[in-house]
Parts: sequence; C-alpha cells; structure tokens
Amino acid sequence: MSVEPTIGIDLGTTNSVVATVQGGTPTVIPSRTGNRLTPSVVAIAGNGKQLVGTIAKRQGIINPEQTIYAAKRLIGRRFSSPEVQEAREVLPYPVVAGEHDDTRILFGGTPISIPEVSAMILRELKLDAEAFFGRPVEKAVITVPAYFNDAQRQATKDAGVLAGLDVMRIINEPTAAALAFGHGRTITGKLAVFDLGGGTFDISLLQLKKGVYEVIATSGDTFLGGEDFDSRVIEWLVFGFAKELGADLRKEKMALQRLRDASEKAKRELSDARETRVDLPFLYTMPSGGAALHLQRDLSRDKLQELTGDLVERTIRKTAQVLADAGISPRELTEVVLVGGQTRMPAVQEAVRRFFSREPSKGVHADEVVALGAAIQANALVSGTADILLLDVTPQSLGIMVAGGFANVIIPKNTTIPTGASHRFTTVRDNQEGARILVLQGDEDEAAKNELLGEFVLTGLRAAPRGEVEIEVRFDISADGIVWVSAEDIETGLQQSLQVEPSGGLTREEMEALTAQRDGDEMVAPKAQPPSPERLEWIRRLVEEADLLLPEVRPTILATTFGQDALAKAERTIQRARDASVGDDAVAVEDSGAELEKTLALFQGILQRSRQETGSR
Amino acid sequence: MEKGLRRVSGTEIKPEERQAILELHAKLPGLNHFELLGVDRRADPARIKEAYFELSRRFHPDRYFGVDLGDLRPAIDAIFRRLKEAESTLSDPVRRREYAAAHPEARSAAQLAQDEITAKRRAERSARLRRLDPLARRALNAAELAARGRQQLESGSFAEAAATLSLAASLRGRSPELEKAAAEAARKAALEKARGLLKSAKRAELAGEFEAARGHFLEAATIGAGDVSLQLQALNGYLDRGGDPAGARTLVSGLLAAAPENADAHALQGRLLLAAGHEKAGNMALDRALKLDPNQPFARSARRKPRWPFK
Repeated sequence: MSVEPTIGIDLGTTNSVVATVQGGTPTVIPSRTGNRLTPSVVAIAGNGKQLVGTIAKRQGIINPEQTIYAAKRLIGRRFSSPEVQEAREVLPYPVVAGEHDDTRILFGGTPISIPEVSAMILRELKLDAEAFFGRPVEKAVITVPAYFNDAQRQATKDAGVLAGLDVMRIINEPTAAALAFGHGRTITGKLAVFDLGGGTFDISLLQLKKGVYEVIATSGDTFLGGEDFDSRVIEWLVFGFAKELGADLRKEKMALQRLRDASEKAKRELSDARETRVDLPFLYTMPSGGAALHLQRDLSRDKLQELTGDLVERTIRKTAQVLADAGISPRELTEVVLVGGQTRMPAVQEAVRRFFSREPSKGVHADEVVALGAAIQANALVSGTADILLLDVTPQSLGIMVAGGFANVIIPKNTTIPTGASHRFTTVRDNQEGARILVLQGDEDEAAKNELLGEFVLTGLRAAPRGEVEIEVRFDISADGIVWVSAEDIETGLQQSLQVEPSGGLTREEMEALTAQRDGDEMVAPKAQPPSPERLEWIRRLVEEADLLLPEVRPTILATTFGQDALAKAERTIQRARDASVGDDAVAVEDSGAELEKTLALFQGILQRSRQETGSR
Repeated sequence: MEKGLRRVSGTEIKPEERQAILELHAKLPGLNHFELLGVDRRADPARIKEAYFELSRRFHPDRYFGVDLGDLRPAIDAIFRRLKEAESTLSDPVRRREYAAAHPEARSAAQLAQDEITAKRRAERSARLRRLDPLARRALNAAELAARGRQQLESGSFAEAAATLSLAASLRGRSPELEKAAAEAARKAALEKARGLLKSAKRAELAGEFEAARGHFLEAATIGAGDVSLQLQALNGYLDRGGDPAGARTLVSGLLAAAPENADAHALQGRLLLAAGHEKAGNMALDRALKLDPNQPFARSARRKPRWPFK
C-alpha cells in the first residue's frame, strides 16, 4: 500500500514553512524556487497578477497598498476589536469591515476575508509539497500561537480548508517546537519552550517521557513579536528624520515600507555585529519640491537594546507568571528551548539565560523547528502507532456568563483535553421561563471582556421560586478541540446543547448587547454559592445605615402623597437585605443589597432636602 | 516512526483493540485510581505519571485517529478522562490524601506500610504458636480455645484460663473481648499467686527464715498490684524483716498512685523515706497520713513530738 504523504505547516506572521517526515526523519520541504522559508506575503501586481511569497515580498516596496503581510495578526478577529483598529494604523494596505464586523482587506478592488489571504499562502505551500512528492497532498497539521482563541484557530482551519487541505489538527507552535526538539533525543523531564516569533510570544511548559509530550501550561501574548522590535527601530528612524530634516515620514507608505525592510535588516545584523548602518538614499521628497532626502544613520546593538528593553522585559514577566501558575521553579526544568527568529537577538538570549539560570538549548533551527514538529504530529496521527503522543491542553478558560455579568469558569485553562466538566446553576427570578447560556472563552472575570463562542437558551423551565430550578451546564472538549455545551434542567430532564462554531458573525454591538443582559430575565446564577465575607460585611453596613436613617426620614416620607406605600416598600427592602445578610445565598445578597443601595440614595436625597429647607428657613 | 501500516480514514478498529476498550470501560466504575493506573498504593508521583503516560498511549483518542470508532468513541473518551483524573488526583498530595480518606481501601502509603508490618507480625506469631503449642495445634479454631478459657476462668483456674485466653486472642487476631478476658484472667491468676506468696512469707517468718520471707513479701507486693491491702501487708512485712527500702520505693509510688487517699499507703511512704534518711519528706508523708486518718498507728507513733518547754 502506498503511503499517503502528510505535511506540517508553520503559518507564521512573517514567514511560513512546510515540512514532512520522510523515512522517519522530519525534513523541511523547500519551495519550488529552492527556498526553505516562504514569506507570508501576498500581493496583486500592477498587471493584476496574484503573487505569493518571495516575489510578493520583493515588490512590496513599490506596491505597499496591495501587498498584504502580517495577516496572521488579523485572523479570527472582529473588525471593531481594538487589536484590528490598532493594526490599521500601521498597516499600509486597506483593512475594512465586512458585513458582520469581520475583518476584510481590499485586495484588487474586492474585500476578501483574512482566511482567504492565509489560504493563498497555504495553497502555495501545498503546491511546493506536491512538487516535492510528485503527487497530491492533502493531510496537514497547521500550527498557531498557543494563545490563539477558538475563533482564531477556527479561522486558521478555514484557511486550510479553502486551500484544499484536510486539516487534521491545529496544534500550538511551542508544542510543535517541543515535538521537534524531542525527536531523536531521549529527554525525560520538564521542558520550557520560549517562542518569540514575528508577531507573537508564547511560553509553554511540557513534561516529556518516552515519546509522550504532556503540555503542563501555556501562555503568551498575541501582540508581542519581532515586528514590534522592528517598529521601535522605525519609530526611532522616523523621529530622527523629522528632527533633523523636518520631514514627517509617517504618512509616506512607500517610505515606510522601505524603512520597515531596512529596520528588520539592521535588527538582524545586530544579532551578530555590534554596529550597523541604515542607509536609505532618495527616501523622501518634500511636498514643496527640492532634492530628494536621504536617510543615513548608525545603529548600535546597545541602542537597539535600549529601544526594545521593555519588550524583552514583557516576555520574561509572562514567563515568570506561567511558571508560577504551574507551581514550577525555573531550576526544575531540564531544558529551555528557544524558538522563533527574534530569539536570535543576544539581549533576548541573555534575559532567558538570566531568568532560568541555564544556557538555553540552541540545538534547533529557530525558523524551522515549528514546521518540523507539525510534520511529526501529522505523521504520528496517521501512523496508528503510539510512538509519539501529544497530551494537549485548553489554552484559555471556558465558562458561561452568570447573573451580574460575570464569567463563571467551567473548564479552567491548561486542562488536558479531551475533557469534560459540569457545574450547577439556578434561576435568579421567580417563575423564570428560560436560561440563557452564553459560552465564553477567556480569563477575565467580567463576561464582556471575554470572547463569546456562542449562545443558546434553555426554554420551558417549570414555574418555581427563584433558586429552585437547578440547571446543569456541561462542557465537553474533544481531542481535536471541538467544544460541546449542554444545559439540562435537573428535574425535568429538559435539555439543550450546542456545538460551538466560530462566532465571527457577531458584531461588537451584538456582543455588548448580549453581555449587557447581565440582569436579564433569562440569566442563571451559580448554585448555592455562599456570599464572600466582604460582601456580607457590605450588606451588613447597608442595613445598619438604613436602620439609622429610617427614623429620620420617616416623617418626611409619611408627609407625601404615597407616604404609606413608600414607607412599607422601604421597610420591605430593608428586611430583605437583613435576611440576606444572615443567609448564605450570594445572589440574594447582591440583589437585595443593590436594591437597598437605591433606597438609601433616596433617603439621602430626602435628608439633604429637608436640611436645606430647615437651613433656608 | 513508520512502523506498520499507516491508517487511512475510516479504517476499522482491530477486534482485540475494540475488546480492550470495551472491557476497560465496563470495569471503570469498579476500579479505584490505583487499580486503574495499575500502580502500587505507595507509588510516588513519578511512577503515577509513568503509568498514566503508558496507558495514555493505548487509550488516548489520538491513538485511533482516522479510525472509525463509532460507538467506541464515548468509551475511549471516558477512559482517558478517568486516567487523567486518576493521575491528577494522585499527583497532588492534598487531593491524594482526600481521595485516600474517601476510599479506605486506598489508604496512604505510610498507613499501608504499617498495616502490612502489623499483619505480617501477627501471622508470624500465630504460626509460631501453632507450631509450638500442642493445645493450639489441636484446637481447630480460636473459638474453641476461647470457650475453654472462659470455663477455666469460671472454675477458678485463673492461671490456665489466662494462658488459654491469651492464646485464643493471639490466634483470632484483633479481638478486644478476648484480650480483655485474657487480661482479667491473668490479673486474677496473679492475685491468687500473690496471696499464696504472702502465706509462704508469713510461714517463713514464723520459721525464722527472714531472708526467704523478705523475698516472698517483695514478690507478693510486686505481682499483687491491684489489691491494695495485700500490697500494704506485703510491703510492711518486707520492711519489718529488714528489707532494703530502695527495693520497695517504686512499688510504694505505684501503690500511692492506685490509692492516693489511703492513709496506710502514705504512712508506708513516710516509713520508707525516714528509713532512707529523708527526714523532712518522711515527716510530710506521715502528716498526710495523719490528715487522712488521725489514728494511723505508725504515723501517730512516729510523729509524737517531744514538747519543748518554752521557758
């Protein structure tokens, strides 16, 4: 039986790599033009021809508006998200909104989606692989930054499907790096992968033994990478140019494109040299005319470190945090692997060395290791043997929104998948008919700050006082990361479920509208959660204050038209809060406390007015 | 890496693999975490991890990627989740302790080691007894011995009852009732013996064999613990016949602990202390005796102080 070829693809921010396992050895597949790296750039040339990779990158200087790079920064993100809005400021190509707040790029006159852009790159890599094997290739594993959320992963998968690939699995870049690093070595123990690529920073901790790779923890920053280092150099050059010659380059797309290339080149050179020169002749012509201006500046390694010191610091902070979360000390690690082009920078290596008190392993090719790891996983999946097994985790917490607009975590981040968990919730209103389940991904307490993965409503709840209907919400995640959510009325067995689909169709406004229903009629609350001591203290103080004020305002209230009713209502409110202050229901404390706060504000108003009246008399 | 044939999507699972999955899934509810991982209850975290990794190789869903699992999928998912649960529970010292508490059959390593040693010792002892004692060998079970012991106890053969019952207790293993009965028999046997010794001592005293009398008195006082008047008689007899006070000191302290309100005991202590030359402490003891019983003869005579004329 002939063996069906499999490939692993590192779809990078700046460059992409495709690899395979041949005769047991992971190997990079060179492009048809003989390059091992393919720039993640697509373009439409002046003649209308679509270009991908090296040739697209090469013509970028003369065609900045139709040369798309760093699409990975936009994939799976809403147009209205702050990340996309920020990116628009620096990207020379036009980023526009799609119909459903999805992000699109005006490419050759038509707005195309980001997965379509990524698909062009993937298709190119697929063609390279097919040329290499001399036969069709479909089965692939694609890598993403560890901290990509579900929407970003799904969009990446979509890109693969658009490119005609059978995406068997999306795996994390640092995990892939670990697979490649462990290949052919017998490593037992804990390993850290420090991955600082073009656009993202990831840190992952793994435990290895005889071909089993268990991810212990993973974290990162999707907006911290080599391009941020480049930007610092560009800013410095632009600022110097403005100071020296009084010319503002920030709006000059073509000049910026040249600056970008020159900055990246200078940065790379400073990994080896101590000093370099940025030389850009005829960079700019003043609007008023005159001779073209040249840019010529010396950049030292020390200056570069000064410009980017805080970025390096950020990576170390994140690393320290993930180690602390996992309860592992830096000294416990057997290996520290550096991945990603930006880790070539001496200052980054030095910072890592200092933090871990050990020499980082450099036995891997920083640009290729991720693709090689993806190829190993692709091969392991189809081989049907158990030589290599990857035990992966959920990168972010999953949960639902509960009354008050909070996120209630059901599956915490860094849980090994496949997994499942369930929590019980109760209704928050008397005779509540439905339970709205908003599925959230992220680690923020406030529901609105997390990613909304989907929503559904469990309707037809039996009529009962609040807190009496119990709903069990269950999350299941399969080995390939697909999330299932179900909600069940414990007593009646009434059930609703949802397979989480990418929710790219949701606008920011819709998201806000959904999460704004924090006090809506269909909210649920965690079951039998006791109030925290602070909240109890809070409500006790409110009740005390009410007890103090009530006798003072009583005459004033009674003197009004609805005095009797108003007083009775206030007394009821106080009583409810008093009951809650000695009860053990957090929801009752929150609800009655909030009510009482309103009543107290009313009392204050009455008192102030009566004081003014006595004063003016 | 390329061992065997690669799978193609939709491949059927091998019958033996299907069998293994179904069998383990069926057994899941009955297995505790240790049994599931196939590790010793004292396994350390490294061993737990190793077992988890090994089983994951066989039961992680990725092992069957592209295989048409059909109805097996929920089973294999459930197996892997249980593996993970077992591993994470047993790897965390706090959760492991809680789990062990909730599953008495899966007790902590130290407890288990202790249990094992105790059980081993007990087994060895029974074996030795069975080997040595003809009675034990003949007795088919401890119950028979116990019944015989109780009979002996009733008929007043305390010494035999004590021997039989302690044998029965050691054969049966942990049996508080039997152990209590054996102790009771032993106590009665000891008192019986002490009374016999007291008689022998008095007989020797009459015969003028004071050294033999001292020995019998002291032994009677030693094994007669639990009978205060017997001990007092024996100890006073011992001192009367010129016994070394130091040899009686411990016994007197024991006596006082058993009968702190006994004037005779305090008087005896006073006598002992005076004999050893501790005048002040001895007088204090005698005063305590007089306080409890103003007519305590020894104390009265010893504390009869000369009245000094003040002029």
